[in-house]
Amino acid sequence: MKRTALRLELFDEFFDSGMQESVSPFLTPGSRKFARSLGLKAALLAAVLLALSFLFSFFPKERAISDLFLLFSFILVGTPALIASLEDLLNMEINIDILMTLGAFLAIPIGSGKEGALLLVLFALSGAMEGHVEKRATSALTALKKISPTRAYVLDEKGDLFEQPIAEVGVGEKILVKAGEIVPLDGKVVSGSSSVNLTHLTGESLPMVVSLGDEIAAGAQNLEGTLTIEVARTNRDSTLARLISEIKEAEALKPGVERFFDRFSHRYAITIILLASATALLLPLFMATSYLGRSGSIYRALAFLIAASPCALIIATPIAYLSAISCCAKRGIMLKGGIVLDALSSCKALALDKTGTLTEGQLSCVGIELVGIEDEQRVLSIAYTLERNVVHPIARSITQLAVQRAAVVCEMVDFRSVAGFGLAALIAGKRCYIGNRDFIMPLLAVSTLPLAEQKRIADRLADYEQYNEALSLLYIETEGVALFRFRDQLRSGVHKTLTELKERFGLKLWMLTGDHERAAATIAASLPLDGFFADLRPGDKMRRVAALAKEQNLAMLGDGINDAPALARAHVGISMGKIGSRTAIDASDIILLQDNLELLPWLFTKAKLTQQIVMQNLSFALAIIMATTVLALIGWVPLWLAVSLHEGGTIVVGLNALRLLKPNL
Amino acid sequence: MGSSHFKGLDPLAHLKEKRKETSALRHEVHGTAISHSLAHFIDSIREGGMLFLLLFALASALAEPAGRMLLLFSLFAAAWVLWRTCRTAILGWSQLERLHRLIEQERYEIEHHTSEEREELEAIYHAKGLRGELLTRVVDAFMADPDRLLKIMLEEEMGLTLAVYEHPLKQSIGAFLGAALCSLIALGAYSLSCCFAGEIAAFILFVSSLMVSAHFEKNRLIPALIWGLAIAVLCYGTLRFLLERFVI
Repeated sequence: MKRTALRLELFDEFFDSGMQESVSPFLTPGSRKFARSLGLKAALLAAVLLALSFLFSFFPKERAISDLFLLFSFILVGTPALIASLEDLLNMEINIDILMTLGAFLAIPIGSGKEGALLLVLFALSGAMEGHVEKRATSALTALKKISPTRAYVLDEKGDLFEQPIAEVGVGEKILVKAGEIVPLDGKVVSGSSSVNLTHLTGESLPMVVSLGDEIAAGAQNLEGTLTIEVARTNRDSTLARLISEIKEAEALKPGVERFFDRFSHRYAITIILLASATALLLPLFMATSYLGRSGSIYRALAFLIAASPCALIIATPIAYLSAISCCAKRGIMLKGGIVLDALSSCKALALDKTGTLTEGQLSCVGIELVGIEDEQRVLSIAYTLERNVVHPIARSITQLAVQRAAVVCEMVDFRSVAGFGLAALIAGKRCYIGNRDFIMPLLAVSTLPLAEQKRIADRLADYEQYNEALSLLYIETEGVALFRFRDQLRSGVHKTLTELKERFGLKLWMLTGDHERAAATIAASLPLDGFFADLRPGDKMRRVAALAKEQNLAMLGDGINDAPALARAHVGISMGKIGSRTAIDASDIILLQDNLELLPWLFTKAKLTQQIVMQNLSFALAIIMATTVLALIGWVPLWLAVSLHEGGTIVVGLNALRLLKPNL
Repeated sequence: MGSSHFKGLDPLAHLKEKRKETSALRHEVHGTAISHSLAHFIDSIREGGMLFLLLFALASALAEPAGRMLLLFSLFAAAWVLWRTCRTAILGWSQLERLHRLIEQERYEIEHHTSEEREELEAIYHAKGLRGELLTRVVDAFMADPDRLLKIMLEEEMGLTLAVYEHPLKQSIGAFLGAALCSLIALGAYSLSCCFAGEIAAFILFVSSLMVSAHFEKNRLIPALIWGLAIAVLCYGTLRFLLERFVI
């Protein structure tokens, strides 16, 4: 037998899906597709068989064939319904499932097998559609576990390097983290220097320089040099472990959203069953009718039970959700279930992350200031020549600007990278240096640049740092200095979008960020926010969201790993699909696939409309059921007409729900 | 040594117990190493061949017209095909349910009894000949990745093979096709109403299925053929002689 190599990620997918067959690690890849949408396929096949049964019933000679098709239909959809109902009964749960199953099977002795099968088929179709719509939420932990290192390179006393599971690395041991790797454990740098990226831990968009003696958190990405770190906390207590536990806590505390229909279905089922039982037992005592026979109380009770089976009710919601979800998908918004729209329509506040959500999440060069140099294009070419050799957010920004302005690459020799500080090389016979102030200012102090110019540069640096701009200095020996300014820009259209959300929907808007107060204040001042909270660690964000959510239903919009606990905790989590981290996407309920915030007003409108249409459908379906059941009970309407009326109601609610497919509705 | 995880046994003895427990899952129902759907296809033909052989023998003892008998056999065949199909699907799902329960249990053990799992892993690779530092490093590498550890424990501890089982529906399609093909050929031959055509067809179906199985299992063909002939003759002969004695 041919064996196929197994993707280890399949285990996570399998357990996250609730052990679905379609991702079973035991099945061959080819045969897993047999398990996809099995419920829907069975329901559709049962519907076809029922239709055939109905067709053959018109030919008296073919009655047996009609009954055969009916039998197949019943077995296909009735068996799972019966199993589910019995299990619910064992758990002392009376619900719509039991009502439907009871009605369907009791239809057989009164000669209404086809009506019973129709109930089961509609019920199965509704359940299959709901299952299709409600994608099982992947735990945010799955993605986080993937990026969390599981091994560390440990340096022993002899200086030998060996790999060890991080769970077995103790406090005080030394580990080596190379450029590009994720720091596996919290610790202190004992050797080396580098810059590290903390965006997903704190939301800080600027890389942080670390060197001897600096604390460094697990989960930070080492960008440049090799670091030797003395472990300060074991894996159980590391920053990543805290983040994982915060996400678990948030997922457990997430407010559950129950549909209106689910809340009342239990009472509805019990009421109908009790009424039917009362009719069967008590009607002959009050009316001149017998127990048995077609006009007897038992027949009427069964007819009432079937007529009261809520086909229109159960189909009313899934079709509406499916239509809304489909419409949203066409506009680049992915919903993890229709009930998310219910939750969104009830939200009165929106919390937004700053970096990567309100802003682009990437540094853009907003200006180049020249001191002692005339030619900006040449300066850009030199900077490009140096920075294209490294991986760093500032390097990426300079490279992008250089490409935009068609800057050329110069001849370069003797290239050096000083991790955590800057780069140097000989370009066109001149020594050129680019890096942070700690790298460049000491060079300027011993250069021929006039003191006044040096002071001017220092003053400019101090000014720009106030506005939380990232800065990079390029020093060309014997010439002068160029000051590159970088900022994480606001997304275009954000102001207009937030204004519309405030004015049309009356939403309270809050900004939550891990960035420091000054940076947050600068951004908040330019937006119509009701307030902002800065210097928030991931756990702080979650607690802030929890506090805000106590006052009103709250939606949270974010993109980073550090937003995941808050996204999981909010009533509705919305993440950015393109820039967003996998962890944030998994923790959220709605994903903006193209990161287009301007769709938020449309989404809120859609959510409210979906809720309206669902309520219309439920009201209409209930009205039809009330009318037909009462009339069936008092014998004014025969069973076949009662069933036809309530099936007709099903069609009407279906068509009403399909209106949600229109994008402009 | 021995904890509640190992139920008082040492890791190696615990491993042997686990292997025994899962042997039923590893043991192929059809006794072959070919794909499940193909095995069920052949199995259906084998069973159908013998079934129709005996039915046709029984028919010869009744005084019913051939056409009526053919109709009765066709209706029987329809029900039998359905039975084979559903039975195969049910067995397949039952097996899958057990496999899923096992993987869930093993994952729980990995998460909550990490040190015991380490002991088991050490016992496994110690039994394979690894010792000292090499054993420690190998076990460390496997323990570092929970997914890889789960895969190894399923394969090494329980002897299960991943990604080889076919979905129950696919298996049942194999069973259905085999049963349907067998029914069509046997009944088609029977409808010729001459020279024991039905019996001969059923006989050929039975014997050829045995030979095909032998081919895929890479067993010797001649013993498979002769034994097949012998069993078919024995069963058919028994029925015919008993019919002669008690019915005809």
